Amino acid sequence: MTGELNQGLELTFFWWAFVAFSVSSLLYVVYFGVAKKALAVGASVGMGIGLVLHTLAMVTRAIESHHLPLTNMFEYISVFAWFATCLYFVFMKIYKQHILGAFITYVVFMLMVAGSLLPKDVQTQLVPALQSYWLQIHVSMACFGEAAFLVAFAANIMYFLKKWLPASSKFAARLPEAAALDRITYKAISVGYPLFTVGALFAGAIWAEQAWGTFWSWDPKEVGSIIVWFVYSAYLHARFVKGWTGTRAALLSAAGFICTLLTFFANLVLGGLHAYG
Amino acid sequence: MIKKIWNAVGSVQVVVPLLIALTLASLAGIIVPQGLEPEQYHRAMGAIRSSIVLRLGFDHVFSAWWFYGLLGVLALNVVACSATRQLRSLRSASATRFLRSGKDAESMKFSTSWTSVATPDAIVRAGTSAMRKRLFASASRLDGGTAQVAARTRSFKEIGSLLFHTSILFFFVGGIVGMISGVSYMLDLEEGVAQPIQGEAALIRCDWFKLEQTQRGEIADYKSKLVVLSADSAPLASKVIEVNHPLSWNGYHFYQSSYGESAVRFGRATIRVYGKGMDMGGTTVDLPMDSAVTIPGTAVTVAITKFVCDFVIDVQSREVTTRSSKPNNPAIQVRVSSSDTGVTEKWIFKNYPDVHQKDDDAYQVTFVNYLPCYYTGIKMSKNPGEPFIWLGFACMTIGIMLVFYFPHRRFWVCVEPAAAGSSRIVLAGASSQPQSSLHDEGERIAADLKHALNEGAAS
Repeated sequence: MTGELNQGLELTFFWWAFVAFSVSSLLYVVYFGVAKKALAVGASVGMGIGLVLHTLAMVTRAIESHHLPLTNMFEYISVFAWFATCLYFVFMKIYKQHILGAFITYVVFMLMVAGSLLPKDVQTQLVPALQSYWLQIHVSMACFGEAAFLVAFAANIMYFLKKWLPASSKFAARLPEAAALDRITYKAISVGYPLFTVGALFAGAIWAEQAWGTFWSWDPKEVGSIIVWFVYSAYLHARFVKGWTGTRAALLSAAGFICTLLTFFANLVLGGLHAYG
Repeated sequence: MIKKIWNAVGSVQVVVPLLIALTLASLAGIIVPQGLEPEQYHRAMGAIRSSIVLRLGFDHVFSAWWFYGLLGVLALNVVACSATRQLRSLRSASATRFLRSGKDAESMKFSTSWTSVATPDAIVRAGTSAMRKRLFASASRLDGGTAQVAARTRSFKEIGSLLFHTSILFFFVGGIVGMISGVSYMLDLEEGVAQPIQGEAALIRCDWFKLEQTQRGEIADYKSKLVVLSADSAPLASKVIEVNHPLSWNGYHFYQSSYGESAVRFGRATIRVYGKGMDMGGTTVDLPMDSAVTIPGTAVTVAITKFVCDFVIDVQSREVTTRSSKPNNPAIQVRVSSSDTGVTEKWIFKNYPDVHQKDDDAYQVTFVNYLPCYYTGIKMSKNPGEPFIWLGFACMTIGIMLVFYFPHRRFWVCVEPAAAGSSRIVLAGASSQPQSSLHDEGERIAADLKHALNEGAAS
């Protein structure tokens, strides 16, 4: 009875969070057109309300399932959106750029749309391989790292728009300077890369060794993760050593996020050891 | 010439394309199904494409010679980069650098200046003290009216970079050692059965296997009690293992990997025996494998000597085996011994009770049911490369933290003579990373300096 009540509640919270993020996205769309600060502030408030509701949805789901909601695609995508929303507030506080917030909001909204289409059944009994504290360490760190890559990607999109739209365009004029967007991309990757390396790769390898007896199995998800790592490593090397900034760096960073998305969905298409749902 | 090649191998011009090549190769490895039979590629892709895939080794990307080649070049690049650029960078970061003048200082990423009535000597002392407070390494020089304090953070970032690169080598060494001298294989152990451990004068035995299910029939857990035995059957190590909780002994790890029902053994079987001296409905006997039971009130003894879950017989050799590991046609070989009829043996089928039954048999047996004997699937592995892998994890984790969160910074306090016997102070700073905190730290150092020189309001 309590379980059913919780499941009802967590879905209610999820859908209300979805509504809040949708309203924020709409307000940002209007903000693009009329440039009224009140609209952007309203969108930020909407994101705040969405974050609170989304947090409640995850807490009630965790109570219902007796574990952190990190065990299937719906839960992962939901936590991914949650981390991205947290980073929205961090980056808004540091850079105070509503336009950046708008782009992050759209990606969060799209993640929520994707999550809303997935089966939302609460899994109370985990398969034996997932019954480990490494689940929380590995998945949450990987997810947080990927959310930081998402912020970098939002800055990339803005960078390309800034570069490719005619200088006379009103919209382009409202975007931050290309150099500032380049710095935001780097900053987000400098948060995501350590988290991804330690969380997705190392914690994952250590857990794999405990569960399957090998650090590395060339499983599609593992290979996808190492691809993401290769691309962001190339970005950082090019930036640190060769001083790559601008379009080349933005292209490499965007390629990294596309690989992140491919990795994210790899187990749905290709199966493998990570195919838990 | 060799030095040129060595420098080129360790350059970023090599590593970026190399990382991109590894990315593309890895992508091929997840897009093209790995490890199938040639005919399967032929069926799925057609003759031309499958021939390309097979010739280029795209059917086993991660063990293809060219993939190992790319990894080898990456290892060379890491060695060359560490030995040349990384060490040079560490030496350079550890050296104190003075600026030529206050003008140079003003062209830095951060700079601020003000006029002070303090003597150059006092400014140098205050500057040195402000830098040491932040654990910076500093040096100073004083030349008449001009003076300079040059300070730098410790070379954590460069050490981090060196650790990061070294960790990749540890991963390579760990992987190679594991490939050459590691052991890894699967073992299906039935309850109560011991099997030898490869390369060791020891055995591994499964005392019991337990499958835990929820009320809804979901698998909650599966566990095995394992015992490592010496050659003379003395227990050396023991543990109840489950997924994520292996048993470790002498460098070996025993992982709970899978489970299943034995195809040739059962736990307990129920049979019904009909014959002289027994009830019309027969006598039900419940017995484990390889044990004989005497039917109460008679001198008849029954034993089950063989079991197969999917009976099949070789028509020439007459040897009975199992066709599969599924219980499609469970059968037992029953031996009936009695003083008046002697010993008879015959195969009895659970699903076909009338087969092999003759009306003139003194004793007839039917196979009622059985409880399966589980085997536990154990993965055994010994990886002498493991310490290198752990070392790699540690080095890379520390290295990444140092590179990202301990940027290399330099600060200078330049003192130049100004009007009326005062001095112009230029505080400048530079950082290895584009971080706004350089500015904040510079402002804090300036405030400390002003405070030490009693110039809180100076500008």
